[in-house]
Amino acid sequence: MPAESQLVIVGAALFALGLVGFLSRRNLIVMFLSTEVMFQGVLLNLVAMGQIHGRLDGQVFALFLLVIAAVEAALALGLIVLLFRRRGTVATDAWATMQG
Amino acid sequence: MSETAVAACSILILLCPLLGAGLIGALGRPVLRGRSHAPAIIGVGIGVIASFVILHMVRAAGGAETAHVVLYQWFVTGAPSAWFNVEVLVDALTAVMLVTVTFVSLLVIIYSRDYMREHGQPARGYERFFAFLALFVFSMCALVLAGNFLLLYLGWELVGLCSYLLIGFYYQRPAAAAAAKKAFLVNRIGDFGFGLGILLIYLTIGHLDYETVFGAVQAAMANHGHGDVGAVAAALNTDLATAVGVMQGIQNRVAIIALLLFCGAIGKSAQLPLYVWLPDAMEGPSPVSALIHAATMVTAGVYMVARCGVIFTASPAVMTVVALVGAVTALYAATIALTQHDMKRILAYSTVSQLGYMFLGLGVYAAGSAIFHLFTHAFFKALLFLSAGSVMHAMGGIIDLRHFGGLRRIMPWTCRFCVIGALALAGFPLFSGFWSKDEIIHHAFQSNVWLGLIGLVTAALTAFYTGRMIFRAFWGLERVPEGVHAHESGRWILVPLGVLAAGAVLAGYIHVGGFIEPVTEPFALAAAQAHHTIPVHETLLHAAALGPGGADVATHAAEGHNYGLMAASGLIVILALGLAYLAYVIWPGLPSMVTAIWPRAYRLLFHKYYVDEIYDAGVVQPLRGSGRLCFGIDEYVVDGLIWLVTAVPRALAYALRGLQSGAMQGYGVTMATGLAIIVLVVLLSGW
Amino acid sequence: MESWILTLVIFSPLAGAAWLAGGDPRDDRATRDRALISSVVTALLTLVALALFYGASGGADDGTYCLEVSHAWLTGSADETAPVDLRYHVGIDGVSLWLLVLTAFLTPLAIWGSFTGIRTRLREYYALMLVLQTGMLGVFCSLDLLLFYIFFEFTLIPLYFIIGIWGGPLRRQAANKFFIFTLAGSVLTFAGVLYLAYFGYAHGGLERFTFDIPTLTSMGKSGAIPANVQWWLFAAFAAGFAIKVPLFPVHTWLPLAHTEAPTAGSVILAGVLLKLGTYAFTRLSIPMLPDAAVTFAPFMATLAVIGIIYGALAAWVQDDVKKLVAYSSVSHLGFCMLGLFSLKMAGVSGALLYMVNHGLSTGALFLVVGMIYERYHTRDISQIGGLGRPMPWMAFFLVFFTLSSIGLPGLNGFIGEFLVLLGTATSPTTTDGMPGGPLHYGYVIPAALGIILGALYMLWMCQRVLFGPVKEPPHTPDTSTGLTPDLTRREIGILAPIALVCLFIGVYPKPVLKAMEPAIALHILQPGTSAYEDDKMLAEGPVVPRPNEIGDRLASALGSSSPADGANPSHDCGRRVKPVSAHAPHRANEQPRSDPRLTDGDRNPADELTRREPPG
Repeated sequence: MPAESQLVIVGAALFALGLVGFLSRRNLIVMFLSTEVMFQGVLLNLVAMGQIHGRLDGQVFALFLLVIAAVEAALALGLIVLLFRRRGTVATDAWATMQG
Repeated sequence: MSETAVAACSILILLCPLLGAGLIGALGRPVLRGRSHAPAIIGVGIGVIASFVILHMVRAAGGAETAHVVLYQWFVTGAPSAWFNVEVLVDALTAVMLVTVTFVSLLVIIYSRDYMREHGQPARGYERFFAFLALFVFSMCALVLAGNFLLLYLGWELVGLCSYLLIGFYYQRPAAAAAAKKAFLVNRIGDFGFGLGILLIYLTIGHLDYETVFGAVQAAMANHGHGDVGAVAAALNTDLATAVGVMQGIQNRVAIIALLLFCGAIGKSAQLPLYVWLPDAMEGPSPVSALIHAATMVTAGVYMVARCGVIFTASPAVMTVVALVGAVTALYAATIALTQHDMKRILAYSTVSQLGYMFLGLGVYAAGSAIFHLFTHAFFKALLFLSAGSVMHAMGGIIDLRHFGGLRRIMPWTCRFCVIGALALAGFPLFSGFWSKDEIIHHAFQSNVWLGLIGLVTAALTAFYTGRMIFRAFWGLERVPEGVHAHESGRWILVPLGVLAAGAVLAGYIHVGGFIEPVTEPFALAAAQAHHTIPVHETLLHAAALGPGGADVATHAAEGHNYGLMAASGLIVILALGLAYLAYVIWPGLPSMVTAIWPRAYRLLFHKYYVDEIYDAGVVQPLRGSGRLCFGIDEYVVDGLIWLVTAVPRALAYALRGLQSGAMQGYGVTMATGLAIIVLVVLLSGW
Repeated sequence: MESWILTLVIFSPLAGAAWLAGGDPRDDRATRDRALISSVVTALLTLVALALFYGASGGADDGTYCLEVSHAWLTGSADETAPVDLRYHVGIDGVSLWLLVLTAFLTPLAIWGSFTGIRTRLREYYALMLVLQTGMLGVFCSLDLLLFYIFFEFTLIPLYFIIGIWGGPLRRQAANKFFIFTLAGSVLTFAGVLYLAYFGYAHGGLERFTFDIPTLTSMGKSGAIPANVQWWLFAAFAAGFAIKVPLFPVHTWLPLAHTEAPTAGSVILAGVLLKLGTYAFTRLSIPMLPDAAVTFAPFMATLAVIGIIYGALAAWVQDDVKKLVAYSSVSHLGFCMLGLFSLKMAGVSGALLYMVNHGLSTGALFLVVGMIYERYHTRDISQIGGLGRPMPWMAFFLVFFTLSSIGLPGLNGFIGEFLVLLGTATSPTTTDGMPGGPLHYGYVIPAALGIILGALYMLWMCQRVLFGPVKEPPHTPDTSTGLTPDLTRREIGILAPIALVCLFIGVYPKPVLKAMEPAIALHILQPGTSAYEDDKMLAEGPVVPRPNEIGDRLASALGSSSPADGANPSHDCGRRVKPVSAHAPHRANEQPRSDPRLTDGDRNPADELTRREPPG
């Protein structure tokens, strides 16, 4: 199996794991970490695809995404801290107020 | 006439009253106060002088010349025919009107100086009053001087505005405020037709200035209504092909145009069925009534018809309408005046009636006589209203004849002047009203016996109600309202009255009709033409029937002197006055006996045929109802429909809101499932 | 450099808003002053633009666009020749000039008029007013369709907040209704805009996917858009514009919005925002879709006439003064639409003048009503009365603007009204060198009836408010905010300039109309066919019209058979003259053309040839 294919498989596995984590956990921080895992899966895929097609776009894009992910993480964690201060918990159930 | 001189005089006539009004408006309250009458008197005074200068110039030119001066370009749009100028047209008719308007107005303003004071102190709104008066004079002069239909309309509306402001001068009195609004609105109804007529003129001829329009209409109606294409083309300065079309347009529409214009005249000159505002207009101060009823405003309609003689005489049917409206209004208003108790109201109905005479004159192609009557009427009606004002002033604001009487000794001068005015109004021989009214009745007889008879009957009624008013106010037992210290008015009031009284006697000896003959020529021409010939034998018959002199009179008849008729109408007037003297001085019980015999007729007349009530129930209330209906439609139908439209998304949202659980993972599952389905579909379909 | 003046004008209020937002939030006085100064600066800049307009070669004389700036904005690529062409293109001509001036003139007065009325969140309020001004100025200057649309929609946002925050008791509902109504229509308009640009690129022979208004206008005028496409586009445009006007029956948002808006909001709404709709019809619908404009004209004019009467009647039964004036706006805007769709010089210039006049007099009326409201805290006619005694100055201004509003000759309202009616009446004629229009005398009669009703309800209002015995609600007039029982100097200072302008336009409207006219001839109306008609008339003799439309029966009853009154209207409308090349490049028909006023006499033969080309 070529290295690129392995990378793609690992990326897909990461994504699937992250998705499961996101859907099954109630803790906001863990859910956030799960999304990060999904994110890394996609990143890995991008790099792999770039490698497969012999172009650098994938890598360049991955670099961009890294930066964005960092920014996003800072923002999201800040929000979570804020939410925790409001309710004293980081469980999603406490915030299910937006129902129709 | 030199154009420069005419222009200079016109500008003076227009600007001086306007500047006076502006000056009072700007400085009246802070600076002038009790002297606010000065700018108005000076401004209008200059206007009087300039008017006389114009009259002199027209006379010097033999009365036949016309000066047309463009002052500046007002606005332009599209083709050159739609360039509207501020322009003046001066001819004999204009000159006569100007002199009448400015001269009578000046006297009224001088009179107001004392009238608008209470115990020597200027009354509240003193400055406002004079500013409006000056503005009124300006508006009327603008109307008379206008050189095209649009400016005529401007003056027409401004006069309406001034009447609104002045009738509503005592704005805290609900009656005054309502009367002001009524005056403006009823006038507007007339102006509706007037404006449409102007637009139709433009649509048909493509121009609005008098000279072009009248020239074109005259040419189009030449040759017994068959038209003269060459003359039309020359008048319009176009090629023959265009002229043919315009000519046909004129021939087809001239009657409708005339009728629409006449609507305006009906409104402004208070004829049936739009006369209702004028009797209420006496809610304003007496000088205003004098101004509105005598010199300005109501004469505008008569002036306009005389000015547009070319258009009106083009259609005999319209002339018949004019004559009928005039005759019926004259009779109708006179009957109402018989029963009223309010001195000013009697005078107001007499104005409506006299204006009816003028339209009767116009309708029977005697425009000269109509303007002549307008001229004499201005003097004696202003005199009567100002005298009534003098009485009212002395009676502490009460003008109801039931509350006072026998004022002959208390107010000797007012009484004398008032009697002179009343005799002129009644048409007592040798007073001014006699001459002018007689001419109209004479021409009416020439046209149709019935019209003439209506004229005579109205003359009798006029004499009777005038006599009734005079005898009740000045003769009989001396009575004044309680708590009122009755006194003769001061010099500022009596001097204008004296001048007007002189006018009321002498104005009949000025041959106005002859002077303006060049202007009223269309009437004469039309009368002479086929569609208006009175068989000679008929005239002879009248003459024979009406008095001694027989055939001799008939030959004079054509020239406007019918001695038999004069004698007859003089006799009728004297008899009617005598009857009034009998009923109100010698045998005061008579009137109540008469009313007891015909109580219904009396009530009908006393309530003015219930016309105000009919209008309210037939026009005003339905309109208001439809207004409520419109608003209701807005609130319920239109908004209801829109609510229905918005109900669709609302219902959808209601159906779908259940999907919104608020739990984040729920959304995640949905998303993941959807993604999985898409991936599966893509994979299975083998893309 | 001078071409950037418009950009300065448009964005100076925005800069002012930023300056305002940077100020001390507690210093109310400074906030007010800054807002006023900023709007006055904009007004001065507009004056400079006006001077430059007259100084520029052409603008005032032949009607071309002036002070133009055109920059590639969102081309999708650095390449200037890329297919998509979105431009920052601004410029003015005689059509937009006076509306621009009106906006710049009214805003400072509206801001000045809010000094005592607005008590809370001053910074936000004045900043929003200035932002709103930018939007309005932008609409009148835009020469790019997308830019136009952006500014057009942008005005909604600040006004939404102005009504929703500082409005009356029902402000939320009013703001929502206002926003949703206008937005709903505009969405369709946006679809139309996109399709028009797409059509130009795909079928109209334009090389680029352009939104440039002059280009699209010449495409539309050249007849490159088939009738059915024009029809749909017109309907799409009208959906948004008619709501904005507002045309009957989509006017119901207006009374509520007016009633609930704060004074300045009403002033701007009535004074300028409603004109965006009529201006859009003038600038876009009529010139770009000329055939559809002719087809739709009787329909639009009928709605306009219904609106005139309906609005007047509804106004008459209102007890709320503001609602009364709002319904009067519905009636008045009907006149604008009527004039526009006469497709005649007199009618269109009258309608444009009417827009300015309505902005002045109705804006002033709202100001006066606001001044009453600040003192008596009610707008209910039945609760107040006889205010002429305690408030003579207010009475003067109320009567003055009432008279201006009901079209008293000598004041501004009359000229516009007269021209509108004149244009409508003479619509089928060709004597002014324009092809016959679609309306006729039959529309004038109900419209003129509307004038009477106008006098009726306005005077009724005056009588109830000003005349009669004094009637004031308890504990009023409220002078706690430093107001005097009668108008203060500040308030007189607000109203006096408007009154003076009203008077000036009434006495000497020529300069205003003169600047409009060449631009209307060049950009709005179709070139004339009068020579053709006259020649035909010579050959065939006068044409008797065939009664074919709603009011035609009336017109024929009036006996119309003169060429002055035009040949068969529908016949004329069909003959839209095509310029030489159908797919004319940018500004194909802005080539020098003889003045329409002179076309009767001296016409150059080449011009004649193009005119005689048979209709395709």
